[in-house]
Amino acid sequence: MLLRICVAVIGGICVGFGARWGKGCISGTSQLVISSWLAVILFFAGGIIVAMLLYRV
Amino acid sequence: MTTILANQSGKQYAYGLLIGFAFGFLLQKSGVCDYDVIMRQLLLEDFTVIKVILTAIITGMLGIYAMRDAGWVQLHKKSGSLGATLPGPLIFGVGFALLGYCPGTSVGAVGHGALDALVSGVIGIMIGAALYAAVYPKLERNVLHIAEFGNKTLIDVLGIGNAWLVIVPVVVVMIGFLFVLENLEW
Repeated sequence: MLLRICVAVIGGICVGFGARWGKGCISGTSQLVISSWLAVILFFAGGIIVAMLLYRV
Repeated sequence: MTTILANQSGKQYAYGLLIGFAFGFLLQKSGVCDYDVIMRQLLLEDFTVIKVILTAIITGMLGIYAMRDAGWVQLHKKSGSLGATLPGPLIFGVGFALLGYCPGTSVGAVGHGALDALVSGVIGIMIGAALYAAVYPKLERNVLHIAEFGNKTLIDVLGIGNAWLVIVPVVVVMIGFLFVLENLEW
């Protein structure tokens, strides 16, 4: 439980930090903005890699 | 229409609240506020999140460009650079997997009483955003402007005058992809 909270707080900080660094949410995808699509692909890439490392390795 | 709305802050709050209710309700109803659904997506075991995002992009794209053609709204395109668009989303993605929520779904999950989404999600995200603000001047000087590529859309890049000649094929491809996801057995 404590581990979950610690990991999740680090995760939350990364989400906030990364969201600001990457200039926001994925709503730009609806306007077909290239940078927004690149951002979505990268954010899933990062998420999938870490999730696989956490639960599958 | 939206410019008129932006000048009437009372009305704007009312519309915002109404749309916020609908957004939260549908986000919750679609199941993407659930930690397990999000983690199973990142482990490629359940594709609910991708399906919801793609459906939202399709309706959003058709709606935004239709409203733009009607003169109701303007596009709000953000420019990108490798210095911003590469590391930012990757850090976000790492956090996404550790936390199990993105900012929107964190707030949605607080709605059904998920304490991890409140303590780690909402508060953690605010701490992260504050830390970013603290290092922003340094990043702005040294990193954010590396390899800027502007706010071009796919339509601009292809050089096609009529946006719908790009939108319609993109929508068709996305619907095809959704159809494949829906019928694939994993």
